[in-house]
Amino acid sequence: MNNFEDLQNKWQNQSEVSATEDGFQSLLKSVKSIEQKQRTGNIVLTLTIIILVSFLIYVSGYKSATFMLGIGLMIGSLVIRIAIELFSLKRLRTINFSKNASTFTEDLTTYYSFRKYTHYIITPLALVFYTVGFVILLPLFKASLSNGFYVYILCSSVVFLVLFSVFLYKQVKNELFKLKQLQMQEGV
Amino acid sequence: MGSKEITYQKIYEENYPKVMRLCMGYTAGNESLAKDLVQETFIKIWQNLDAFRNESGIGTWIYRICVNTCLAEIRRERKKDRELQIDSLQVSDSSDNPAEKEDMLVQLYKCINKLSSTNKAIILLELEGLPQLEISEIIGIKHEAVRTRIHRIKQQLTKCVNNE
Repeated sequence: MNNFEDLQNKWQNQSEVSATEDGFQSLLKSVKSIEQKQRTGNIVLTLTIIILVSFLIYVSGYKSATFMLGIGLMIGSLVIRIAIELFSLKRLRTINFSKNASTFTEDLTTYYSFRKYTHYIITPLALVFYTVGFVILLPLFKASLSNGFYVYILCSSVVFLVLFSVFLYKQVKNELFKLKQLQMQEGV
Repeated sequence: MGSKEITYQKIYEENYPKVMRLCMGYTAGNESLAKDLVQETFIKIWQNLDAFRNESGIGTWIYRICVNTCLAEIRRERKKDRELQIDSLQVSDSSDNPAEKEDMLVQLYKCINKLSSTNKAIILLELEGLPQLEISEIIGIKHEAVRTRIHRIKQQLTKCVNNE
């Protein structure tokens, strides 16, 4: 029969795991690598937006309204999606881990609730606009490309769309699960 | 190493054991998951170190980051992880010559794991011997509410460990 004081005593006297120099060096390496990755990630996403927008401006000289509509929808939906992703990332990084647990849980719940709207409204819309844009461009591709290349573009796009949808589905499922768990924590 | 790195190393060396204990308690003794959480905690400590103003004491500040890191670690328990956990618990239980202390620790992990996330954090801090006022500052609920909750969890935990 153990009372709580016995448990506490055993807990505090459990075999000590102490910090090692190697452990610290590896931690420091991870810290630096994360900082580097965050910088690179931001640069890559920002560059992608700049390139896409520049490309849109470049092709705006074309007289074909159909082409402009198709490419505009595709690039526009991608730019909006990337911009929202960048904004979300920034918001997630500003969540303060040194606040008390109740405030922290509330902040995290607010963040995932915001993500829920992104997933339920923005992401499906972006996906639809992207697909519509692509479908609009298909006749132009067919007219100007060889049959083989046209079939290749068609098939690879379908594969890309399916894979991307699966990826998004998993991400949405995971974040909604987190939100549900957080709301349960808040209720306790 | 710069002065930030030196301070960081000191914080790491002094606080690693208690952070590890808390994370082990949070993950029901799953060492690899606990180590991931410890690493994540110290990464957050580094990222927030410049903003630390010593308003609450470094210990409380570190516990807050550690508890929040554990709370934020919501992942679906992978089947592989669950099996590993159960396997390791069974090995300890059925050993011919089990160290009584280790057995009790395993049982304690199991019982803590039955609690809600917030209650887990509260009781782990209590097991660490933190004053209840400090626990209430870390968790963000009133001192009186913490006191009541600790009393209830203590009873549940003791009952569970003694297989009542």
